[in-house]
This record gives sequence, C-alpha cells and structure tokens, in this order.
Amino acid sequence: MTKSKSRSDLLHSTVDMLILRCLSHGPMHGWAIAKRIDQLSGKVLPVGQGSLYPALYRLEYRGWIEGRWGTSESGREAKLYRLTRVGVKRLPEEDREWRTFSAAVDRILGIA
Amino acid sequence: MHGVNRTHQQLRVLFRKGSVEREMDKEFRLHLAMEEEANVRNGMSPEEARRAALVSFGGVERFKEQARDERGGRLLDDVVLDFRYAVRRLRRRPLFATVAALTLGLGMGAATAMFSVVDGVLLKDLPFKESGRLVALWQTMPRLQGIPGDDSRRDIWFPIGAPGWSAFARGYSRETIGRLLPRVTVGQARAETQVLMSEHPDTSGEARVIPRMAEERRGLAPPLALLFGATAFLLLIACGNVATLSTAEALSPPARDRDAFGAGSRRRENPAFAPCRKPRPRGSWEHGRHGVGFRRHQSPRRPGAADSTPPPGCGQERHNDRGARRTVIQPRALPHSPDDLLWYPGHSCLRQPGSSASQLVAWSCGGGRWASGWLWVRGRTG
Repeated sequence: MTKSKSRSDLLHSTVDMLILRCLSHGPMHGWAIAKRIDQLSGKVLPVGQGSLYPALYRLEYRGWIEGRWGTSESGREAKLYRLTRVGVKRLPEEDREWRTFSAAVDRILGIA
Repeated sequence: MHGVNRTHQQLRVLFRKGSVEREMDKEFRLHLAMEEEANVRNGMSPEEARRAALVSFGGVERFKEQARDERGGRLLDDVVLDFRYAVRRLRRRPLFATVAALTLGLGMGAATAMFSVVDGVLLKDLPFKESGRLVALWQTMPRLQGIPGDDSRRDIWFPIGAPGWSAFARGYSRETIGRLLPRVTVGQARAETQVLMSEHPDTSGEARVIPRMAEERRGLAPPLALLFGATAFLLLIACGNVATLSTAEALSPPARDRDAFGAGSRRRENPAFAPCRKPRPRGSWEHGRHGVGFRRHQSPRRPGAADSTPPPGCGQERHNDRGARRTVIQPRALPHSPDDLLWYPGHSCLRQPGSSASQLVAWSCGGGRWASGWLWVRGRTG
C-alpha cells in the first residue's frame, strides 16, 4: 500500500482484493461473492453484504471486472461478474501490496 | 477497449438512466431474495428471514447511492440535473431571469462589439499581401527633385490623383508605399534612403521610412484600448451583479434545503448543498431540486421514531398551487435508520416490500431535532 492512501482507500482496497480473489475462481454474482467471502473468512471479516455492490461498481468502472446479465446456477437471471484481463494482471499486485502491508503491521506490533 | 466500455457506460447512465436504475434495483432485489431463501432454509420463518436479510444487507438506498457514485457518469448526471433545476427556477422567476439575461446580454454585446473593432483595427493585418513588410516613404522637399531609389525598388505605389508632390506650408511632401524586399529590414531601408539622399547633392529635405501598419495604428491604439478596457470592466461588473443576486438567493435557507433534497452523498459534502439546520416554517410547501415537492412537518421526536400522527389529508389527492394533481403520502415506520432514506434521486422512491403503493418518506434535520415530512409523488399511488 502506498503511503498516500487514506483510511477509506485502505478499506476499499481490502474489499477490492477480496472480490478479485473470489472472482479468480470463475464468474459469480454479488450474493455468491458475499457468501464466499463470509465462508472463507469464517464470518470474521465484517464486510456488509450491501457494501460489496459499490465495490463491484467501482471495479467495473476501473475495468478490472465486467458484469453481464446471465443465468445463475439456480436458474435465475443474475448479473455475473468476471475478471477482465486487466483484473487478472491486477490481482497479484494487490495481493503483493496487501502482504507487504500486513507484514509491516505485524512487525510493528511485534507479532512476526 | 476499456476506455470505450467506460464511455459507453457513462453514456448509458446519462441517456438511459431509467434502464440502469432498474438493473441496479433488480440486482439488489435478487440479492435480498437469495438471502431470504437461504434464511428460510436455515429454519427461519418468512418474516424473520426477510427481516434478517434486510439487516445483513444494510441500508439498501444508502448502498444504492454509493453505487451510483462509484459507477461513473455522476458528474455529467449532476451537471444535467443542475441545468434542469436552473431552468425550472428561472421559469418560476421570469422577472429575475429577464433582468439577468438583459444585464449579461448588454455587457457581452458591448464587449463583443468593442472587441470586433479592436480586432479589425489593431490585431488583424492590413488586407494586402505581406502587409507586414509595407512601408511608407515620406518625403518632404522644398523643390521637386528626382525620386530616390524608385528604380531599385519593387512594389511601389503612388497615390491616385496626386502623383506629384503635395504642397504644404514649408514646401512639398509626398508619400509613396512600398514593400520591402524579403530579407530587408526597416532599419536597412532607412539607412539606404539616407545614403541615396546624400548621393544627390542637389536634393534637400528629408525622407523617412515608416512601417505602414504601425503608422495606421499609431493614433488609434490608445483610445481603442481604453474603450475595450472599459467595456470589459463593464461586463465584469454585470457578471458580478448577476452572480451576487443568484448566490444570495441560492444560499438562503429555504433554497438550500430544496437544493439539498435529493442530492447524492458526494454533493452533500459541498456546503452549498448541505441542508440548513435552522427550523423551517411548518406547513410550507417546497419544491425539491429533483422534481419532488415536499411539505415540512416538524415535530420533536427521537431519530428513527415512527410518526404516529398522520398529517392531515393523508392518502387524499390534492392539488398544489400550480393545479397539478399530487397525492399526500403517509410516512411509515422505517425498517432502517433515517440515513438510509435521507437522500435519494428525485425520480425514484422507496417501495415497501409487498406494498402496491409507492411510499416516499424524507427526514430532514432541523435545529438538532429530526423532523419528518411527506412528499408529493408524481402521479398516483397504488
């Protein structure tokens, strides 16, 4: 993470990275992304379900993901999001930034 | 490619806003429906499942507003809304609009006319080929002599009708126009003229080489510049007066509340659109920024408390002061915090699940107390 990122940018970056990680496994709609994050985190991360949608729209505006209406696995018409080529390239960079930031925080707190 | 997609998306937001809003609404409703189904599978009753789904989702309208800010095109959308709002306000004040238009029109007209004169006289070249190299050879002599240098020059013009010398008090004068050779400067021409004059010992008098354009403009530049400055200053004063009048009216408390109503979260950060915190008169009709009117009903209550006292005339069709048909909507207890419903785009409304009626509730903060209001909605309810 760059030093210039504000607190809201930090939170946004975290949610963005989680969404990109979920979509790396295949197209998903918003509810499925929320459930996957909830499931993988063991209900630890306090990411509200509704807060995913501004993040999805933000990522779609940046061109990292694209959303198209299609049919979900349950047969319903849903907007499915998938990674674009830019998003695929962006994911490891976000992952690396998060790990750098996390390691720095751990060092400061004396955990590592 | 991404730039094309982004532009396409922004154009969709601008010109097909209804379709974009319906898609977002559909997406959110699908999410809530799927969450509700999951809750039912986990053993909840339908009512509990519905309530739990709404709670876990959070404020629907709030996230819709955030999503609108993130999807792009908000700036253009706000500009279009501002323009439409300005037109509506001007239509309600024809006298102010006329005076402002006349003031600005006079100022701009005067400045434009003055600038066109300045442009034609001072800025544009003379309507001749290579006018920058035209020079005037001004000669004054006590008696007629040979004309210096005309055999070695090209492009020489003599005044029609007065090819010879013009008499004046001290002798004779003549002006000829010539175009300097491509690489000859005015200084060189002047030097050569002096040499030619000195080579003819019988000539007397003087000869001066003057750049023609500078000669044309020499006497006109100062007064024209003064006039142009004066008209530009006049335009500045006119703009300042209109801006002051418009700003004073826009920042008045009733106007600020109208402007704030329906504004998005980012616009509310602008002090010009922040709602006024002074208590407003009770029962006064207002017309919101985005085409939604509302009537203030102020009462002391805690935030989030239900309005148990329905306003008079609730559920009835009424006519506003312009004769248009409107319906009074009764505010209801809210499933979410007031923040969820505080701001919304002017042409959408909160639809209670399972209700066939469109219910529109707004909360505004006045004097530190929450006040509830009810709104006119375009068209019928139900």
